Amino acid sequence: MSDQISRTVTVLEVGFGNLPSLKRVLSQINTEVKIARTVNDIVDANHLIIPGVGAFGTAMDFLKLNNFEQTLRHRCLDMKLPTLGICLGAQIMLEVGFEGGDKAGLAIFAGTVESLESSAGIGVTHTGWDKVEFNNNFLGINKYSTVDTFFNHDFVLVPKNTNEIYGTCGYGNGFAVALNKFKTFAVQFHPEKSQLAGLNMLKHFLEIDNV
Amino acid sequence: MYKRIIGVVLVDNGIVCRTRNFVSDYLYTDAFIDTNFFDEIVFIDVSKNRSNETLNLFFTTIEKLMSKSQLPMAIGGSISSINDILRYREFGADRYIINQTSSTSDELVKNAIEKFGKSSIISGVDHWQEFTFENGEKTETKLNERVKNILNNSGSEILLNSVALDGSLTGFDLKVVQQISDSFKIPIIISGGVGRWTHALNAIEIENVKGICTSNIYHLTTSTILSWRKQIIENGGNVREL
Repeated sequence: MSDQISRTVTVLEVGFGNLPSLKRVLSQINTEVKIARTVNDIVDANHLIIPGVGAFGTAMDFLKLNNFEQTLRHRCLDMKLPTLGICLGAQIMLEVGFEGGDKAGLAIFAGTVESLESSAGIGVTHTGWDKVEFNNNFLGINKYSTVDTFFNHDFVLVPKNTNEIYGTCGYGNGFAVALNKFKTFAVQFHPEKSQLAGLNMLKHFLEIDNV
Repeated sequence: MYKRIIGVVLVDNGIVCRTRNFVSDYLYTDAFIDTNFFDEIVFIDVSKNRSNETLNLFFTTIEKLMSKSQLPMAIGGSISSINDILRYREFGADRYIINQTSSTSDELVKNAIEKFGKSSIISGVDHWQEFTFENGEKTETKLNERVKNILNNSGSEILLNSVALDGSLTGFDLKVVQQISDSFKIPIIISGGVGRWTHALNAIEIENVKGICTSNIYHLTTSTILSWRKQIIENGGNVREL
């Protein structure tokens, strides 16, 4: 019954997260959630997920207030530990966000976060299921495959380094939706709301070696 | 982007039901409901006398039906405060439907958007043909006037509920829906009247219709939706293949 072995994942909530829905889905793959409250929680976590719904600025203010900014950079860039940012949790991993005025992000990935309207030519929220084309292996998804995932966002990732882009969505003028650097993964879509494909990505993430 | 087939689960005192013209019409057991064939699930508490007890029963029903699901989920039913939203958030909801048929809820929508973001809010508007529908009756307010008035202060999608066709299975009110789609640039999801896959196909062919809702027990309990998908795709409709 190896499937029954329970594991723990640490979750750092930024902004108005969707923690209860994430918790429900993680419990389906026998994973318990521990909430990160301190700098040590972030450094010590084997696997860290940063979900989040809400505004870029508010999320960054929260991280600054708690001295989590440098810790997260250290975790992702120096310690190279498994870290997954979802939606807003992915957006704050870039250098600058343009939501409600310029705001500095974590700068784990080079690039900006821009409105769908300015960067993709879409004037309304991107809500619903859409195709993601993977140009590289990503969290168990094979290179060159296309996977349906669920989106709900007004801002998009505009990374500078194309070699960090692992998946794109063709909606509007198209945009990057999956980034990877070391063991840090940033996804604009919601794996926790994307049925089997998303569940497999989460499983794969939790099985990444944390050394 | 795919158009969505949205399963709406109406819950009356903790029991799943069907409604006709917005009145609970038929109670049903949740034992046979399978939510996995949908693209999104909506739970609406239609209990008349709401209390902590009905809320707990509502929650238990959601827990049961979502325990094996990884679908996005929205909750609605008499949201009248930010606290209601915070409570529904604990149920695992991602989006919240606020009934914005009347201007009395404009303030709540504004506050909710500020707090939770536009993409977390759906504005529900009830209508009877081309007029809005409030407090059990058709009003003299035109639906398109109301939609126009909330455009700058609405959730990221508007849910149009046809009370006249609710439970009829005779098809959506496409004349009204087409008019709204032609007049405004806002994503809409529609509810009320779907009975067959052809109704769904005709509806999603309208540009701004991003999703169609069904709350018919028959659609929730068998693999009907799976066969709809097949038929819709074979006939050129843009829905997800499962």
